Formats: sequence, structure tokens, C-alpha cells
Amino acid sequence: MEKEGPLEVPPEIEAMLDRQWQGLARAGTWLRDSERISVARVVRDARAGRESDSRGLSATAVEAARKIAVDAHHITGEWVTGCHERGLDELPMLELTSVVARVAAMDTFATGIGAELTPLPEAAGGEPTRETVKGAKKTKGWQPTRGVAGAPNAFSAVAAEHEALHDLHSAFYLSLEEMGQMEIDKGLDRGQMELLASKTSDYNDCMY
Amino acid sequence: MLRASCKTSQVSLDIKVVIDHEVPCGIRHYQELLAFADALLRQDGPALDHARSTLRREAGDAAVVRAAAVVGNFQMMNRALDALGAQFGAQMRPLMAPLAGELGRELPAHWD
Repeated sequence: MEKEGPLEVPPEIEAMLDRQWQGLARAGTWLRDSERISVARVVRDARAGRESDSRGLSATAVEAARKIAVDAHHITGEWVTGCHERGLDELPMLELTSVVARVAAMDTFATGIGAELTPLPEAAGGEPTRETVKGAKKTKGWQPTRGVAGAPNAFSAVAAEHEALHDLHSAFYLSLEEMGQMEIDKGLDRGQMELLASKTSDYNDCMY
Repeated sequence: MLRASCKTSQVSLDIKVVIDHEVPCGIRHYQELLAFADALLRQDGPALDHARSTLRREAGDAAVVRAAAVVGNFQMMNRALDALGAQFGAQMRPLMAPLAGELGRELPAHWD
């Protein structure tokens, strides 16, 4: 075993991770604080190959969190509709999707740098805001978006989750402004970053 | 984006390197990066420790941290997009199908 010191995490990534975990501990737009943390716990169980108990989530929410965490490439429109029919409405499901995706991202990062996973936070309170986004609807996708469904607006029907996605995306990879900069270097050059993006998508069987 | 970035920097690329790490590629440290990502995604602890050490030695600490961050970001985006089920329209199929074929894959039926 090679002994090495810990890797230094840039302050902008540290700050983003703090914002993400603190935000995840609070009530969201549709989910309660405890539900968001339970979803995060289901993600960790699923990725570790463990069974999950409900921990206050509906059976459909547990099923959805596990599916998105470890079997997302087999999701179909029929399955998404079935989740809605079994009680997980569109916007809460979109928020759940965001929590699953962001926890998977942050846990992958921690593992990648050789750090322990961040302990799941205690519930920090608050009430779901139930804020809606004007004009959000299903447009060439299974879940509602503001505008045509695509990567930049995947969570746009839930404003807080849209902001959280772009916060993480900017710190871990590139901001929207940086996306057009093919000669950017952030510790890796653009070609190196895109190679890793392609490798990850291939591993996940994601053709997007 | 991978092809566009390589074109901009005039780096040779055979997209098959994504599935076969022995395929020659002009991207710096590509084998170390792919080995790191592969071990990280498979959650193979011993392989990851080795791959991290190798990448750290060859490319430096900042490269390791950014590599973990980029893989993490696409763990998020892959799940977001697979759950979203975006339909790109039939007109995209002729453009994307050859790329998918090079990787031994087929485009999802729902894309149309």
C-alpha cells in the first residue's frame, strides 16, 4: 500500500460541497428535510449493494431512489409514469432525482480523492416551499422542464434543484460560461476532462 | 465534446479508447486517467488506490482532484438525463448512430 498525504481540495469545491450538504439537510421545494436525507441514505445503500428500509419514504420513493442511483439507464417513460400513478408526483420525483444524482456525484468525488464519505447531515428543518416554475411542463421529455428537455434544464421545473445542479456542475466541471472554452485548463485540460466524461457515460450506459 | 476538444487542440483521438484503453490517443496521461475513472466507477478500492497513486505521480495532485470531480459531475448528469428521457428527435439519429456504433452501442428508442 502506497502511503501518501491527503489531497488538497480547492476552496471553490469545498465551499460548494458545504452548500450542497447544508441545502440537502433542509426542507426542499416538495420534500421534507427528513425525506431528503432518507433519499440520500437510500442512495448510499443502493451503491453499496445493501437493502434499504423505508425510513419515512413511500415504497415508490425508495424504488425510485434506488433505480436512479444504480440502474438509471434502464428507466423508461412507462416506469416514470408508473411512479406517478403509485403516488410519487412529477415535481417531488424531480426533486428526488436531483438529490439522488447530487449525492452520487459527491460520494464519487470523496471516494475518488481517497476521503471518507461525508456523514449524512441531521435534519435542519424548514417546510417545503411548494414553489412552482412558471411555464414548466413536459416538453420532449418524461419529466417537466422549462423549455425543451436537455442537460442544462434537466431540473429546471424545481428552481432550487436547478440552481443546485449548476452549482455542482460549475465547481466539479465547468460553468455554462466555461462550456464554450475548449482551451480551458482546471487542473486537467479540456480533452482530458471530456475523456473522463465519456468514460463515465459509457460505464453508466448513458448515451446522452 | 470530446471530439470537439481534441479537434481544437489538434490531438489525435480514436473514440474507441473509451472502451479499449490500449487504443493510441493523443490526450496527455489518457491511460492513467481512464484507469482511475474505471476503478472509481467500479468502486474497486485496491485498484483505485493504485490508479490514484499512479495518476498523482504522473499528472499531479490537481489532476487527481479534478478527475474525481469530473467523474462525479457526470455521475450526476447521467442520472439526470436518463431520468429525464429527453427526446432529441429523429433528425439526430443519423448524426449520433455512427458514434454509438463505434462504441458498440445503440441509441435509445425513445430518442426519436
